[in-house]
Amino acid sequence: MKEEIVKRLPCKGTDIPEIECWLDQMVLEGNFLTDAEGRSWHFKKEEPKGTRYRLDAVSKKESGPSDEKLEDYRLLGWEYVLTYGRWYHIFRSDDPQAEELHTDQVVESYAFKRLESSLLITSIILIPLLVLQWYLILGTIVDLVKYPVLSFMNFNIENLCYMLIVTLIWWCSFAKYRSFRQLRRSLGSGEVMKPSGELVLEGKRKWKKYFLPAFVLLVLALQFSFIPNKKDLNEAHGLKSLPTLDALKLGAAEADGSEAVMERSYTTYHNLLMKNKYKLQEEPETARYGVRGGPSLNAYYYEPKDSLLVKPLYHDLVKRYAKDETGAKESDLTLLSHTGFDECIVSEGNGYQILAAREGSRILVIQYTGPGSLKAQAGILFHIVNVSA
Amino acid sequence: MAKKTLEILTESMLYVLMSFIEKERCGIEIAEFAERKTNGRVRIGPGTLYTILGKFEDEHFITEIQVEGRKRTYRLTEKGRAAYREEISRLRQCIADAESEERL
Repeated sequence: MKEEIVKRLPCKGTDIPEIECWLDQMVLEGNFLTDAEGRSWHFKKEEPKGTRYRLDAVSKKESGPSDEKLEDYRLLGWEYVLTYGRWYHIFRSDDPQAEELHTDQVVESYAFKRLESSLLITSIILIPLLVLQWYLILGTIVDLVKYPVLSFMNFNIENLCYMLIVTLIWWCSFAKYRSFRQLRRSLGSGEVMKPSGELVLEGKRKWKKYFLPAFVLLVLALQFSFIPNKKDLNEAHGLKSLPTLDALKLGAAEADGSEAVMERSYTTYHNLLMKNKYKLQEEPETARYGVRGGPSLNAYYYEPKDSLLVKPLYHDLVKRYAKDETGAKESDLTLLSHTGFDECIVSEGNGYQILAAREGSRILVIQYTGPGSLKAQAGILFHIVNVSA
Repeated sequence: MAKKTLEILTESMLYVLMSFIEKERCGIEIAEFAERKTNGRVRIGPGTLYTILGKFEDEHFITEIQVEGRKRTYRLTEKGRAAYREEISRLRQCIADAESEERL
């Protein structure tokens, strides 16, 4: 059995002169191309001979060259080897007398026009997605400036990952478009295509091959570390340990789940920085369809792993919810004492009542709309926080 | 914007068009015609030949008239014939210019 070896493509997949030069070098070492998958190119060992490899740009939407083309190429001394990435067909000739595959550079430049156009279209199609991803991440960056600790601990890693992935795909597509455009223009102007000699330098750039797998692993690790976990409220650790509307209405930590017409969601978060975190949302079903009515509640609970983060996080939460969301100024905030909490602030505005409270390393923020008074319910909330602990 | 048609033909392209003046031809016959006609001076590689055929079909200079097994035969269209004559006329003018310059 003939020995098969795998070599990594030492240059860009779009650099045709460089690839042809590399394949010629491989032939001199007795390595003959059999297959190519991404950047892994497969060779089999044979006796070195005067074989040439030439690349032929895919000029039509086809998975491989037509039978007629294959037959005529064969008659003119060229055997089909494979098609690489829908960009070009690779042919080989063992006959030193066979005419070169391309004998007219201007004509060869026409063959790249379709590739160039299709890559440009892909790049243009990706632009709205790219803008959207950047817009989403821009909001995260603004939040990071306004509420640094809160944003850092709440970091939306999914948006960051999507943004990086979309940017990477767009950049690859655009870079390939530019490479083919440059090649087409060089050929069209009659410039002789010479390998740049970068093959010698490529050995020093071996780190490049670890970049993509490392990036994918990093994204997966971050996703796993930050991914939210949605649970049905009744499957959560009991309504009694959560500050539901039910509990506030009954005036007790023991809720009975009688608020049957409410839309409820309960989300817990895996987070490297957070010992425990949840978000509880309750709203009347009609609110989903744009008709507001009845009380609604959002509750945010944070318990950082490091006690150093507690006070700055509480400060950011007060700033975001008690001030910015209600439009209240520092002087409008009401400090509550004798609630049992170490710190407790309430504010009101824009139709919301906000209560932010800290008990040791545990922080609770309630955003409430309804007839009740959060100020009066602070004691119940303190009890609930201690039940859930 | 209308698609830009071929303005100047390269030598290979001219010989491909020339090969259709006498009769319809398939790919390999075209390459053989160019080599024979020029005593081996113009040799058209298969990659170049098929790119030209594709381009000429897109420009409606030639049309496929027969598919027999793996063999496709093409024929020159009126548009292709006009393009060929125009190019010949341009080349004649070039030669005339060069000759008049030499006589000075």
